[in-house]
Amino acid sequence: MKPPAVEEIPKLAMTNANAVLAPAPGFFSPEQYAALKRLGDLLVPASQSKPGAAAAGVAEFLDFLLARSPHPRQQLYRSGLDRLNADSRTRFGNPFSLITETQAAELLAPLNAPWTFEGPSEELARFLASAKSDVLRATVNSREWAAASTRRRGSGMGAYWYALD
Amino acid sequence: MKQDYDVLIIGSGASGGMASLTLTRLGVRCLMLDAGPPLDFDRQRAFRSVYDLPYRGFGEPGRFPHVTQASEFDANLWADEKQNPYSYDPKDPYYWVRIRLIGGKTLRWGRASWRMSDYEFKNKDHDGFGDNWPISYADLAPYYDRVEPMFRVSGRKEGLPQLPDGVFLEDNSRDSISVQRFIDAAKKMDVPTTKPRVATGTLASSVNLLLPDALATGNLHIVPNAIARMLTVDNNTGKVNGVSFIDRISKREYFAPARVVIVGASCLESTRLLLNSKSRQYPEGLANSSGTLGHYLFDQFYVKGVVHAVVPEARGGKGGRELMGGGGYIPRFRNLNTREHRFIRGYAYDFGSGGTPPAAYIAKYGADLLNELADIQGAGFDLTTMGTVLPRFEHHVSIDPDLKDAWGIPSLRISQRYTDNEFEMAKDSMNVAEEICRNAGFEIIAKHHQMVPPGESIHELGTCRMGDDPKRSVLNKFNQAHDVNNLFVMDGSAFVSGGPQNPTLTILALAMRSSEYLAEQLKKNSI
Repeated sequence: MKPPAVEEIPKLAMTNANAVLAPAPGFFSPEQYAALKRLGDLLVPASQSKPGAAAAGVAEFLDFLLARSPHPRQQLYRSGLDRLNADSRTRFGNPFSLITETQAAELLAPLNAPWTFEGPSEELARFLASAKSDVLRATVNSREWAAASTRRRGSGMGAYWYALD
Repeated sequence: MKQDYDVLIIGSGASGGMASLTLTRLGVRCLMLDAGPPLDFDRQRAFRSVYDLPYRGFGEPGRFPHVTQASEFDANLWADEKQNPYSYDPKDPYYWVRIRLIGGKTLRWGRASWRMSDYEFKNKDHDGFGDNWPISYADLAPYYDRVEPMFRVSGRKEGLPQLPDGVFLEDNSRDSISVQRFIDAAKKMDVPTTKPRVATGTLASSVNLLLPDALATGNLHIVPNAIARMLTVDNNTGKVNGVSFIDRISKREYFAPARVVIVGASCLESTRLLLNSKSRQYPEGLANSSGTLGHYLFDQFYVKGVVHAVVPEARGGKGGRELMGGGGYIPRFRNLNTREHRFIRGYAYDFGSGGTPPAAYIAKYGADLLNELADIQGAGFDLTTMGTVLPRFEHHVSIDPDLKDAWGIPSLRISQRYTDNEFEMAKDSMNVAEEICRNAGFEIIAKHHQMVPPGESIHELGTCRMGDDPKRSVLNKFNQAHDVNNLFVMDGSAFVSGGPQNPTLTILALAMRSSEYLAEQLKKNSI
């Protein structure tokens, strides 16, 4: 009897690296990265039924995304995170990752301003608006969010087109 | 040439597809070239989760600076911006959105299928601006009648002169309560509404509705990956005698001789090809004795999400199908029987019920934001404005002497900006939309009147316009070049003016009409 592999070519199960391994961050400085992680927790905290930014690996993902992003966007993030750390130190004596939620709320106050099409003119406010949208999207589009979804058909499915010849 | 053809068609989208079907059915032998490959829906497409994509749905950063429509799922369908560059004055950005595939942009269009009326074809008669078309609605109506069933357009007849009825799959669906409230509020303000008019079916493309039947006649050959470089002219007759093209993949050069050429490469690509086809007879570009080739560029302006509202009764998950869902269209209602002071012509809206407003509009973060988003999930009601843009001579495209594409073909420089007429119209549209929503009892959560950059609506039109006067237009009323009678340009570049209506249905009807004219001329041997 011939072994089955001779008769048919097997389809091997593969594992996505993101599902089992933590990627190595490298774009943000350790202090910026710590501030980004904290910011993610504050912007999209975990709820009873859904993971938050932390469980969704948002800081790791944004580190990867920003490393490949156009320079103005990189600058917006880097200077925004630096500013959060600097303001935090000046006002509360600690970097952003170590201040309390109440203290952080003071620094995140620009997010309570009404929406305008032009967006805020102040640089920190512009960064926060961008981060709010990016952190939420990166959380909702994560494997962890999909796993917690109660919908029978995942909402994050789509018809993907492979590269054409 | 190994094969003998009557007509060479460049482009396989709405106009090229319709030309090929119309001509081949009448026994005309056609060769079609398209710059792109065919899609294989079975082999090249798969359902995937957004979290499995490399960029988690954000898309590769910087890949499409001007294609806001591209998602990470369909990014590979849009024309690569690095391979296909173009330029503009940085003060006036232009978003040129292209697809280079068999079927062209009919693979991705929004399917909205509105007829234009004599408010557009004869607009100068109404307000004195610009030029009338050389045809009227009555000339095109019989062709609209035939195109709509081919594209299985659904809609509801309304008897509105500014939005002529068509041959529809009747849409008698019931409106949700929120939509009915909106319609009632609009009616009190004398603002008309109707059901969407859209091409239905799984796919409503040249690829499934036009090209298969054209191929089935046996009179059509389609050559993919054929990037037209320039049209050539017979020195003695001044007629076009073929096209030189380059194979996209091998970069091998070819020449296709032709008796008649139809250009339907998309609005700006067609004009680019003619501008690049300079010769002794046509030093300023093929068929450009008028000097109008490249000029009178316009499109439709969009104000995306001009108003976002929430239906209060739908908060807290109480929406349900009775209350929420569905949508419709507000046809142009300005400057029909009355005269606005701040602008001429008018705009339309799409409106939709049942979405969830974007988080950016909510001035909260953290748990408060998530709770609010959960509360308004499915409770949104939003409108997008589509406005008439005036065609102006100074808005134009030209060949950029310093820029070439990946195949060495000179690229376009594009100059278009919106002017006061469009700005005033956009503002008016925001105010009217807000008033209707308020009168319907909706909560307004965001409003603005910022138009997307020119080009982004993907409804670019003009630059090779038709007209009765050869000194002021490139084409006659049958899309035939005044200067070169065996050259036809059948896409959106032929438009003299436009309205708020999406243009594809009109492009299809014009291509059908002009192709039948061409077939007759071939029969009479008069080309």
